[in-house]
Amino acid sequence: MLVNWSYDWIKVVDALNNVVIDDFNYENGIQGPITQKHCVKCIAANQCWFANEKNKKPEAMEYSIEQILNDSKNRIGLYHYNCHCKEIAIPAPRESDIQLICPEGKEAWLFKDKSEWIRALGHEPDEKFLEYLKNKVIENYCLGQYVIRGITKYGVAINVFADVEGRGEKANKIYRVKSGWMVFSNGKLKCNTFIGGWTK
Amino acid sequence: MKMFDKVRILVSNPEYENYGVYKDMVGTIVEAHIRFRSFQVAFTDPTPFSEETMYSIKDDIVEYIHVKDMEVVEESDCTDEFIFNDLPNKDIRWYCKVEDGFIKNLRGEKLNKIAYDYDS
Repeated sequence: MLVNWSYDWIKVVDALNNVVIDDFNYENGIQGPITQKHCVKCIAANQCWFANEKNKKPEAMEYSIEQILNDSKNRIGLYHYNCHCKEIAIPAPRESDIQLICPEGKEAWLFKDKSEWIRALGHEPDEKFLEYLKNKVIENYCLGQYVIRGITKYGVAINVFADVEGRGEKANKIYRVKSGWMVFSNGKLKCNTFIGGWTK
Repeated sequence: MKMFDKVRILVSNPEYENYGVYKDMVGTIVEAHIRFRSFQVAFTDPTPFSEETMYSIKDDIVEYIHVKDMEVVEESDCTDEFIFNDLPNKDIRWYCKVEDGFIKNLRGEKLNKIAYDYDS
């Protein structure tokens, strides 16, 4: 799709740090040795893909003219002084580049707590709807239809806007769902909440 | 305290409030594993969905809450098997329950040294 490739995307790369947010294994999750050594933002963003627009990528630090001209001790960096991170231009991702990480619990929670919402759209809370929603999330993420919600030691949280078509009595209607995800490295997205809200 | 339990927030914490999580809010634990001594908890607006209400329904808040900052108000029937299957890489060493004042994994190993002192 031409529209996909017309978007400007970047990948955040810290050449001196191999650690990415999805590396958090048992030891790191318990003791936090990674975040004790490195800036949280740099780890959360490392090797992750973002549309190159405000609110769709981690904000760079804004330095004042005085800081740029007068601070000779520190090197100006992307997110902080002496930061090693760089934004590298990449092609807009294709849908086949995206890998969703969906813990079983999130699927069970969707069917348990959000079944009323799903039925109200004319769908059934089943695997078929889940696959449909996942595809919509991938499609709209690739189109840059998302915003960053926050950046913590757990990762970069985003809301992807997914357009869900109504079924049955709700046919011909489009509902714009906010779907919550964590951006993981190299095109991976980890589910926080499949349906987290609605927007016009 | 474990996956799918409903929990109440016990504290006012600026870090949580920054994300819209306030004392006495009730949410659901939605991930099996405990990371940095915190569970991932979802807070959902209970307003029934309709064409009239949908845009006024508040967004889900999904945040990590330290186990010491919440209490169980409704236990789930989530099984150990389900919890195991939800652990990252199905690594049984991940801590995933709070019982008798201790953060435990499915082997029964304890993370904190002193009961009810979850940072020990």
